[in-house]
Amino acid sequence: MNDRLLHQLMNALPECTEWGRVYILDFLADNCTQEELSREITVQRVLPNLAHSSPAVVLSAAKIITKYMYEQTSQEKIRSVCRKLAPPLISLMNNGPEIQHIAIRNINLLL
Amino acid sequence: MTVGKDVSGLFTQVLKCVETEDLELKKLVYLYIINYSKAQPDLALMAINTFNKDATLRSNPLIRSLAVRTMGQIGIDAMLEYLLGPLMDAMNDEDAYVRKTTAICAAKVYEVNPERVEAQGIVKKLESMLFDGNGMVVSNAVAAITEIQMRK
Repeated sequence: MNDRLLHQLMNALPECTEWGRVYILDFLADNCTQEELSREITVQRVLPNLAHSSPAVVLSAAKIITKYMYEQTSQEKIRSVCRKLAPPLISLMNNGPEIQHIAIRNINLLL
Repeated sequence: MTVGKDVSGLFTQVLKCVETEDLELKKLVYLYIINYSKAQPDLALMAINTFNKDATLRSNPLIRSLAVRTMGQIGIDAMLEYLLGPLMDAMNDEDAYVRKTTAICAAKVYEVNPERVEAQGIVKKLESMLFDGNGMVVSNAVAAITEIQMRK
């Protein structure tokens, strides 16, 4: 994982289908960058995906944001991201029972 | 075939139809080949030439990607050495849809024989596909690489 690849994936992210997004987001979550600045940029670029209509994309985005938050030291920033993270997870409740089940389990993990 | 009858006896006859220009018929013939290539690997070898031609020389990108996809589904080690060359060529295809199909195909052939696929430089090529200009290709390359990483 390097800056060039990160940049490339970030650019590809809005262009691809929802499954493509899920793959890219999961890849980013598994291959975390070490640099603080790149991590922050990633989180900022991933945040809009929380508003996606597909629950899979929302959960993958939530996963990567949570993962990057562990490395974050500034309480202020953590709080601001958490504020953005909560509403999309709650709105997953508007889906079918299976999605609700997954959403609740994941929210439970986060708490 | 789809109702469960064994029609593998017709393999040579069906194989002749693979030369057709008709896309629907081609799809059916490919389906047949995938189904019976495991049972009759020797006969399946005869289809390789057509695969190679379809995967690289055809002007219709749908046919090219169909051939590439079929190559990925034939999980026979012996056929791999004939398929990897055309797969490599197809990875440089001008059409994005063909390129994204090759990415998935690469992950599938990796499953069959990791060492040989690695030696052919397919994984290296796959990594360079991450820098493709098309988002669809990038996301499929990411999916394939994730799959390969899980196998390692």
